[in-house]
This record gives sequence, C-alpha cells and structure tokens, in this order.
Amino acid sequence: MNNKIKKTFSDRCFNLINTLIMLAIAFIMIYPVYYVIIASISNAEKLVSFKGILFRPLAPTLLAYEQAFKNPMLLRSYANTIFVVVVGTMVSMIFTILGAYVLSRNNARLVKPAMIMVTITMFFSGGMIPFYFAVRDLGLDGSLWALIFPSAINTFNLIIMKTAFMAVPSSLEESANIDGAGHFTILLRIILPVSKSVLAVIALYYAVARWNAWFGAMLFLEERESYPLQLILREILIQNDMSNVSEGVASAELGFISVTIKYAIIVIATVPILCVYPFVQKYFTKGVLIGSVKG
Amino acid sequence: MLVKTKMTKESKGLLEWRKDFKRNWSLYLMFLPVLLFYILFCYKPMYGALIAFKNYTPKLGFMGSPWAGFENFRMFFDSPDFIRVFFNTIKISCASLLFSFPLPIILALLINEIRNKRFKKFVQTASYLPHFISLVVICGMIKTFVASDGFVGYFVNQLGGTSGSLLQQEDKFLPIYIISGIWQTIGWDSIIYLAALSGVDVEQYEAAEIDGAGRFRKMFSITLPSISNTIIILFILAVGKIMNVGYEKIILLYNPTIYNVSDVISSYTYRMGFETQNWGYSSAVGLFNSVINLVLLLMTNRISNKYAGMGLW
Amino acid sequence: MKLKNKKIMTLFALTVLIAAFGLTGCDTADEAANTDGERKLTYWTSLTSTASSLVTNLGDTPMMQKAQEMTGIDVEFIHPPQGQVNEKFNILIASGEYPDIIQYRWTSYPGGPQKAINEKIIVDLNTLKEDAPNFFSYLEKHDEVRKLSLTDSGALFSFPFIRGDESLLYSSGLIIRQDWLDELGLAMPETIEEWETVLTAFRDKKNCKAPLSMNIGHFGQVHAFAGAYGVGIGYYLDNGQVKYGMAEDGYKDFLTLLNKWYDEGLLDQDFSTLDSTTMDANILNGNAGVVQGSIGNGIGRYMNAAPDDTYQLAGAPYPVRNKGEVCEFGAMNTIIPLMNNAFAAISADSKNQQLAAQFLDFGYSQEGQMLYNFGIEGESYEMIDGYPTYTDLITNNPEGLSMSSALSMYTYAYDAGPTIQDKRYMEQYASLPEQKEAWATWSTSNMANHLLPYLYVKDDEVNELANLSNSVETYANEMTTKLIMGIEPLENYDSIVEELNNRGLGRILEMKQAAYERYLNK
Repeated sequence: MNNKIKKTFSDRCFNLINTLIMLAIAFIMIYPVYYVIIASISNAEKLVSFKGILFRPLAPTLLAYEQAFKNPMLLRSYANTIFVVVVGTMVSMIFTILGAYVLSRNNARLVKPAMIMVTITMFFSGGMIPFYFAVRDLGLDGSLWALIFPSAINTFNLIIMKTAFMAVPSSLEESANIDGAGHFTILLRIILPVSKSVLAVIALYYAVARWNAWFGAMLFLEERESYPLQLILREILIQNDMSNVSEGVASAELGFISVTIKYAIIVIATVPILCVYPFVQKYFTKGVLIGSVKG
Repeated sequence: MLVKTKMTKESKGLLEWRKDFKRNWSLYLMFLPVLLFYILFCYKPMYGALIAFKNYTPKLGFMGSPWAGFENFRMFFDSPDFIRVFFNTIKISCASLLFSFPLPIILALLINEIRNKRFKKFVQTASYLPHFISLVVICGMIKTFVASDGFVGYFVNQLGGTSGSLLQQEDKFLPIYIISGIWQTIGWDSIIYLAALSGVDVEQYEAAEIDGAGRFRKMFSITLPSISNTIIILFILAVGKIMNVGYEKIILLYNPTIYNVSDVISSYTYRMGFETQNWGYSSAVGLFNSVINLVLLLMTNRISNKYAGMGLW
Repeated sequence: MKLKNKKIMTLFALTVLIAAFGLTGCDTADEAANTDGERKLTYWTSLTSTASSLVTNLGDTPMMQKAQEMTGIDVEFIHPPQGQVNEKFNILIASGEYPDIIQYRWTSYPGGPQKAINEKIIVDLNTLKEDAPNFFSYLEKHDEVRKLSLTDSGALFSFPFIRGDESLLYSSGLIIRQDWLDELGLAMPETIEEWETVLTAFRDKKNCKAPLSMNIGHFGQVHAFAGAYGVGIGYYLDNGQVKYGMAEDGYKDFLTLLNKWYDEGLLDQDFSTLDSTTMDANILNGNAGVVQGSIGNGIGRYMNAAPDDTYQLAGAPYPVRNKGEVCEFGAMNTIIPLMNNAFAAISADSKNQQLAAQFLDFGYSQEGQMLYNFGIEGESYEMIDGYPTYTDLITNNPEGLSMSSALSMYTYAYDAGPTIQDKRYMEQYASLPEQKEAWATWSTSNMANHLLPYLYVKDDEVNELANLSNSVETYANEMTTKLIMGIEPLENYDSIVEELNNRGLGRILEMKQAAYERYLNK
C-alpha cells in the first residue's frame, strides 16, 4: 500500500516535471514560428523600428500578402514545387523501396557488395561540377526532371528502410515462401503492409527535402518559369539585403514592406508542408516497428 | 590430383553462383533501377572527383585539363589555413555529436512518457516546427537575439561581464552554433526514434509494472533497448559524417572577429570553388574530407559489429 | 497468385521504363543555333530584385521590347537566381558552354578579365570595332573611360556601364538626425570635437543606444572620421602613391578615436556584427543618430518610412580636423562602377559576335541612351523644354508602384547596364529637398585625388596578389575590429602594422603601384 502511494507520488512528480519541460520546449519551438506569422501581418515600418519580444501583430494588415501574390513567379513556382514534390516523392519511394527490399535479403550473394556500393556514396561524391556534367550529359538539365531523378535516392533513407525491412519477423516471410510466392509478392503482401510507419516517415522525409530543395534548381534550371518556390523564396529573402546594392541607389523607395513580404512568403511556403504532417503523424503511433527487434 | 580438386573447387564456386542467380534473378532485376541510379548519379560523377588531381580549365574540359598530380593536396597541406579549418571542423563536429546526437533520443523518450494523447501530439508537432524555417531567417533571428540588446545577449553579458554582441566573442561562437542547431533539428531528428518507440510491445511494460519497476527503470530497461538498433545505425552514420559541417550557416553567421574559430573545411571548399574558381583545389580539399569520413565510418562500423553485434553491413 | 505476379512484373517493367526514359530520354531543346538571316541572341544577365517582382524576364519589360524593336534583334535573356549570381556564374564558366553575351562583374573574374580573354571565354572587343561605332567613338572622346576599360595588354573586355557625369559619382555619405540637432540647439558638426559633442548629446539627451551605428564596411565606404586624420580606409592614392590606410600615420589616431567612442557608448556596441537591416531599424526607431547611406536607398527610404512628421534627416559633411577645411576623403564611385551588371562581354564561342556587338552598341547611341535612361517617349517621359521629364507613370504610378519599380520597367539607370547614365535621371530621382541637399554636401571632398581606378595587375601576379590581399585584408579587418573593441590594446598597433608588412603588404603596394603607373601610361 505504502509502496503504491510512493510510486504514484514519484510518478506524479515525474509527470509534472515532464509536462513543464515539454511546455517550455513547445514554447521555444513555437515562438519563432509564431513571430514569423505575426510579423507577416504587421505594419512594416512599425515592425522595423520595434525592438524586443513581439506578442501581438503591430497594426495588422494583409498588405504583405497582397504584395507577395503580386510577384509573377509565386503561383507558378508553387505549381512547380508541387509537381516536384508529388512526382519526386513517388519516384523516390519506388526506388527506395526496391533498393531497401533487395538489400534486406541477406541470403543472396550480390547483396553485400551492393550494400557496400551504396554506402560508399554517402561519403564520396564527385563534387558539384562533375555531378552537373553527369546530369547535363543525360540531357536532363533545364527540365524539372533534373530535380527528380538525380536525387531519387537518399542513401540515408535507404539504409533506414532497409533496417526496418530486415526487422520484419522472418516467420511471416517463411509462410509466404512456402506458398511459392515471388519477391514481389513478399514485398507487396508482407513487407509493405507491416512497415507502414517507416514508409510514412521516409515519405515525409523525402517530401520535406524536396519541398525545401533549392540548390539543384539553382544548378540545373535556366528558365525562371520553371523555378521552384524555394528559389523564389530565397530571392525574396535577400531582396532587402542591401549588401548587394552597396553601390548606391538601386531599389530605393522599396521601403520596408519587403521585410514583411519576406515573412509572408515564409508563411506561404511553409504552411502546406505543415498541414501534411499531422496526417502522417498518426502512422507513428499506429504503425508497427522499425528496427525494434531485439539483439 | 591437385589440378582436379582445384577444378572442382572452381566449378563448385561457379555452380553456386549459378544457383544463386537462378534463385535470385528476380531480386537482382528489382535492383536494376537502383543500380542505374547509383551508377549514373553517384559513380559517374565520382569519376569526376579525379578533378582533384587536375588543373581544371573550363575551356579544356574535364578530360583535356592537364594533370597536376598531388599538387592540389600539397598546396592545401602547406597552406596556413589548413590547421585552422581542420581543427575548427573537428571541434564543431565533435561538439555536435556530443550534444546534438543524444538530445533527440532524450526528447523522444520524454515525449513517449506523456500520457495525455493530445498534449503529446501537440508537443511533437511543436518540436519539429523550427525545421521548416529557412536557414537565412534563422540566422537573422540568431543575430538579433544575441545582439547586445537582444534578450539572450543581454543576459549572457550581464552574467559574464562582457559587452557587445555574443557573435563578437570568440568563445561564444561554438555554443551559439550548437544550441541553435539543436533547436532547429531536435524535434525533426526525434521523429525516427518516436517511430521506433511506437513499435514497443505494451505487454512488456505491463509485465515490468507487475515487477514493480519505476518510470526510469522501465525507460532504461525496456524503452531504450528496444530502439538501440536504430540508435546504433544512426550513430554510425553520424560518425561517418563527422567532418561535414555545413558551410551555409557558418557563412551566414561569421564576421571578422571570429574568423579564427568559425572557418571550417566546407566553407573553405565553398570559397575556393565558387569565389576563386579553383575547382581542382576545392575538390582536393573535399576529397580529403571524404577520406577521413570513410575511415571513421569503417572504424565505427567495425567496433559496432564487434561489441554491439550489429552494424551497417 | 501467378496472374498477380505477372501484373506486378508488368508494373515493375513500366517503372524501369519510365525511369530509363527519364534518365536518357526527354532531351531538352538544344541551344538555339542561329540559322542564316535570323537575328537572335542569348544574353546572360542578372535580373534585379526590383524588376523581378514585376516580370520574370528582362525581355518582358517595355524597355527591352522597344530595344529589340529598334535594333531588329531578338534577344533571349537568361537570368541566374538572385543571391546566387556568383555561384551560377561560376558554374556557367565551368560548364564550358556560353551564351552570346554574358553580363557580370567581370572585374572579379578570378585572375582578372584579361585571363578570361586568354582562356578564350570572352572575346577582345577590339576585333569588333566596326560593329560598335558609338561605343568606340565615346571611348576616343573620353580618355578616362578608355583607360578604365582597357586591360594592360590593350584588350577591351566589355561594354561597361558608364556614369555620364561627375556628379553621379557621389551618392552616399553620413546621414544624421537633423531634427535632433535642431531640438538640442546644435549646429551640423564639422570637426571631430563637434562630432563628439553631438554624439554625446545624442547619447545623453536622446537616450540613444548607438549614436553612431555603422560597421567596418560602412566606415570603409565613406572613409568617414579616418579622413579627418589624413588617411583613407583600405587602398587609396596619395600624390600618385598607392597606400594602405592601416599602415599610414594617422590611422592609429583614427582607431584611438573609435576605441574611445566604443568605450563611451558613442559607437554601436554591436558594430562588428551590425547588418544593414539592423542599421535601418536603428536610424528609424531612434536607437541611432548617425548612419551611413545613400541618397535613394538611405535618405529616400528612411524619409518614406518616417515614424512621425518631425522626423528629419540630413546628409552630413565629412568630418575634418579644423573648421572650414574640406575633407580629403569621402565616398566616391569610379566612372565605371564595379557592379554586378556593369560589364557586358561577348563570349568567344559565340557565332553571333557581330550581332551581339551591334546590340550592345545600341546602348551608347543617342536613341539608346535615351531609351535606357528615360524609357519610351510619350509613355515614360515627355520632352519639356528639351528636358526629358518622367511622366506620372514613373513618378506617381497609377498602379501604386514605387518610382524605382516603375523605373525598372523602363530604364537601366536605376541599376546598371551597357549604357551611359544621364545626370538628368538622378536630378529627378532625388526628388526630396533633403536628398538634393545631401547630394551637394557629399560631393564636397577631395576624394577625386585619392580614388584608385580599377587596377589591372599582370597575369603572372594575379594569384600572388589575390593570396596576399586575402591574408593581409582578413588580418587587418580582424585587428581593426579588435583594436576598436579594446580586445587588442592600442599599444600593439605598431606590431600589428609590422605583421601586415610580414604578410606581404609591401609587395601588394608594389604590384598595385606598378599597375597604377601602367594605367597612367595607357
């Protein structure tokens, strides 16, 4: 009895402290994002001259959003990004699932060399210029496919997925093997259904990486019409950085609205991917296991 | 006699290969697109890393540029920057590994202990938010916060009796870099552990509870071991990337007073390539970096295989 | 089960096919090769942020459409993403395939523009003299422009952006809160002592945290305060000698002054990390009383954002030692400014070199200059008494565009391009009385005697100079900041100068001096 009370007491303490820590963390994490949002609907001049911690928008206005949507590239780049994210994530998932499945079959003789081949690429790369040539030689440069295929597999994700596939109890597979099922059947019927959580996580990783990617676009694209959102976002972010117009009068009367436009664009660029997350999140709790087999 | 055994051995090996192919041909076929990807986008450019041994001139192209032997490497080792960027890189990445690696695990464990489902989801969602803010913005925020009148800068200066922005003080750069890094990635990095934790068998907890195990006991004896595989794999991968300190954040944060502590290999490579078009030299530095990474990876994997019984391969 | 397998197999085969198609197929359009008679060019240039918020391509602006119509040449513009201009340029160069015209800050090409010509990346324009009569006749008439444009070997690498009048060379300086001066009954400071009084008053009476809010770069741009001690910041000319400020007499006094001001809280406590955005904020919210800025981007922008009606700024004269003196140093540009878009070069591979030269030459013709400075007559400007006056479309845009945005659609003058900038543009652009006054104030200095032209160093010296400068300047920057902040005691100044010399300052000055003499003899 005594023991039990003690336990619940320490339990309560733990819960309390844990909750407090979590609240603190949540605040630290949320505030900057909150700041970006309220800054985006604040009056630009007031915002620039404000110092300190902001809790409420200053003279709320949607002017920044109006201005942001005036940018001829915003919607266009949005469409480009969505295309790259949707098609790119699909391509990535197909490639990664195939690779991970094959690499998780230890009993085939070529798997180990393949694994080494894959791992090496995480540490050696030819550098940017050779990479650029490789893509250009395939005739991919200038098209959105250059943002999809050359980055189809992230070896890190591949290894995570492979580890998860390996953790699927072999008893499940054996039963299928007895039925004489081929590799595709095993993959589709047995492995994938029990690996939903890892699939969701990896798909999220890919989608977010593609959503945020800009370097490849900078490298391979020529036409502004095909720029993804992040490249436009970066352009706007540096717009108010006067270091590049130190010579004098360029972009003068722009005023300070560009500061709030900057925040508005961040909101516009971030919200969609934030909205996707909660839908994926449920798999983390529902899903099965990832490398959680003991030993 | 001797010849005969050798023959049989060889044909036996061949036979086994044939058997392997017969059994696994569909498996190898599945790997084909993956193989194609790695050859076209990883190994083909990797051949291009030979640029490090060349004196690259754009007009002559990759093949036509004259060989330079180890000249580019020699130049790097001789340069006064070498010691500085090398040790800065090691310092920053070791600190990252020490702090940024374990913290997401702890966060995942703590989140896992939250009973209230909605609160749990809220904390989880909040924790990954910073991941989505662009680095340019984050660095802008850091600068404001650690300025002499920024709220972090003000308190630290009061406590330490210093003055001016914290970014003007050599000894503050590393903490600023690490802490802001943790802030940005801790939530995102914990996702993978949370996913792993979601698979832990509830029955085990119940059994432990009957045994009278407390919260911490359970955490250490059930939760942690159940995600140890994930931790080990991620640790090996992290060690293998130890020399990769991203240049972008460094470039956005540094200023003349702290050059000494903030210049790293990647920012150096970046400058050499993009600012002076010294592609050969830049690749040589990059290659040097990769070799160190690979050696570290092999070592960790070896150690892990020996002591933890598992590794990448 | 078997049937299913087959289906999956087909699906898989399809994936592979799609992948293979994606990887090898989908050939993009090859570079537009000109067939005979087609007058078409490709033109690589950065699109300014002002313009890019309105159009996606320079070719879409009324100015460029008119230019294409007037020259009868089709131009396809290729733009690097802003903020990635240098990266993209370097990739472009490394790729080995170039458009007809590349407009970039060629003076920063590693190894100098002459090296780009030697490497057969761009062409020596002297070979295209016949196709660019306007430009070459301008060069003949303007010796300084000619000297600035020619490399040591006499090669001409670009069609540059030229400031057409001396008054256009002065556009920035110190900006001070005039309303505070009036309120405190202080006169515009001239001598160092007066400046100190003013800054102290700002600190004590206006409660301002950073009376003087500038970073090292800002000081360097205007040479302010150092000028009072008879030294410039960085490299400059003194009686025909190339000098480096930090190693000269007087620089120590300048540093002593800033160190004192830093200690007393007159100089921004965060000056080493200060960025332009924070500086903007400081001058607007009363954290600062003095900043550095330009006519449009500084005074114009701040006045537009003025927090209240009493807010008043003025351009301050450069501080001097004794009252009534004219400062030896100040902010000044060279006639050909070293800007991103200031140099249009023609690639050596181009099959349309003559056409490209013709198109670029248009900017130096009478019609071209009018178009690039004022836009289209009857649309963006009207001739009133022989003076090209911007219409309401520019000055008071019906769609609410700011003047610089509207200008970016019709002119090059707001930025840079292959043309000659007209004084009459600036006269209208600096429309506020504060701007006009500041323009006059800032033009008063003897900087013209000290301004170094862009120097072409010898090919074999390029690498040496780059390495030495990098080492010397990084060290100098670091030490300047530390001396001002007191991290490094001022007693060490002499040993720091010694270290500068050890790092090769003497050799740098020697190379620069030689280059300067070659410049004089061109």
